[in-house]
Amino acid sequence: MDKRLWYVPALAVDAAMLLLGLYEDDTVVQTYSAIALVLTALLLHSCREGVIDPRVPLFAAFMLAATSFALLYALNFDGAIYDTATYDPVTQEGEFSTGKKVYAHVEGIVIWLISYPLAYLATVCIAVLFGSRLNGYLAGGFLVFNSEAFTSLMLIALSVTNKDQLGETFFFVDELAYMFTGLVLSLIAGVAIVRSFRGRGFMVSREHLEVGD
Amino acid sequence: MKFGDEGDRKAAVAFWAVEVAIFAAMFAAVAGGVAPGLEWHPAWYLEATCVMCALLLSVIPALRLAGAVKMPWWLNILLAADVYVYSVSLLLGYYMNPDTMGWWGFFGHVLSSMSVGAVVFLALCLIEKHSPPHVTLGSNAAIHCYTLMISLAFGGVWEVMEGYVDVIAGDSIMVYGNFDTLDDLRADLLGSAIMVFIAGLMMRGRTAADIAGTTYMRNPLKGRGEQRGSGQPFYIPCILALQRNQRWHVSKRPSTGSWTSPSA
Repeated sequence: MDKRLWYVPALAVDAAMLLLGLYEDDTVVQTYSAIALVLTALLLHSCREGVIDPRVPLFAAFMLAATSFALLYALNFDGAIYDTATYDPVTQEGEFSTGKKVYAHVEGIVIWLISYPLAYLATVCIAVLFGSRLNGYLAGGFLVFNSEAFTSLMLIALSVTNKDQLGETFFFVDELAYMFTGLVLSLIAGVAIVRSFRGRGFMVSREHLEVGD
Repeated sequence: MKFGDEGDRKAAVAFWAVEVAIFAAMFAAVAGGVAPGLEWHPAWYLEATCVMCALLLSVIPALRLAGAVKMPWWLNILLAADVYVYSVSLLLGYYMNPDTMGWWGFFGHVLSSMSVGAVVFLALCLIEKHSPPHVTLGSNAAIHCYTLMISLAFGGVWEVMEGYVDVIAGDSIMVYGNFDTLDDLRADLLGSAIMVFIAGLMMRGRTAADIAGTTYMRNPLKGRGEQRGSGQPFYIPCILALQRNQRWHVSKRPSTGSWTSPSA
């Protein structure tokens, strides 16, 4: 079987998540789905010179689908959790509740679970398209930066599309929690990757990612 | 003008003197009570900003005169412009003045992102130049992609730092209002994109090694005298030591024919 066909379910999942994000009017899911769709399409395009391991876009698509459903339907506690805040939006004084902060960081973990596989997909895409050969140190570093950059891009998309619909709790709790959680988890994962692959000849390059037809 | 020659040293001294003179004038304006920013900021904060910025900008010419680091002049000027815009904005109260705070803060962040992008771009060129042969960042387009992503990520890290400074201080010191972080991230994206465009223009007909060749770093305590201007940069042994920790995979190509001795 042509291994390019494995890209079809990945593209289908990405497109389905984009439609779901549009249907639910969720900018987070829309942004990440669009990024995944573009990167997977670029990777498929580069398969003309040799099939690139389809597990990379498939894994990113699977994580995108699982975490998008979690964000849309499991972590949508915008009622009670906001009522527990003692923050006064008029005087801008007070404290956000611990429950709200914990909830924001849980959301941050889920968002990182989307952005980190996407960061690997982006690293692979750049390596394949532009001829990079990255060792463990460079790949681990780029994963941290790409993951944080995608979180920033998602927040920029939020600011462009529906900034005025967001409450003060988003600006002072959620967005910081997303970026901080993503940064810490990416650093831990980066160190783990570098340490676990040391001495195993880990490389991200077209030669190492190509699979036979 | 070569690194370490008389012309280069005179230029560095002149650069340093102008920097310090400008900050001295700014400090005098605050101490004399004529700086408009005093309406919004305490005098000690503005004076401390002038002193800290002057010290910060002195590092670049000091390292150059010590023979430790030479960066290209375009990067020196960009970094200096970034620090001046920040300090002048505080002195004139542009970050707090309702008439200017919106667009001026955005402009300042764009300039800062360009500075970060420039440093990232130069660092990537240095990595590309000094990597072992089996490791490469790839074509110029790859370097531009990594520059964009890394400088955007640094913008995010900066915003995390700003937010948690306010959390720790329990007051709004670095985050000005609800939309500040999101507006800053948009400015970061624009500044990074502008820097990538400039980097693209710089790399037309040039390689990463050419760009990296405009920067030198070395231990000034070693090789003084005859080694001046031609010593090995001190970071190369560090990169090589890191590379040695990993056993590299070398793909083995199948033999295409029987080997025969030249003498046979």
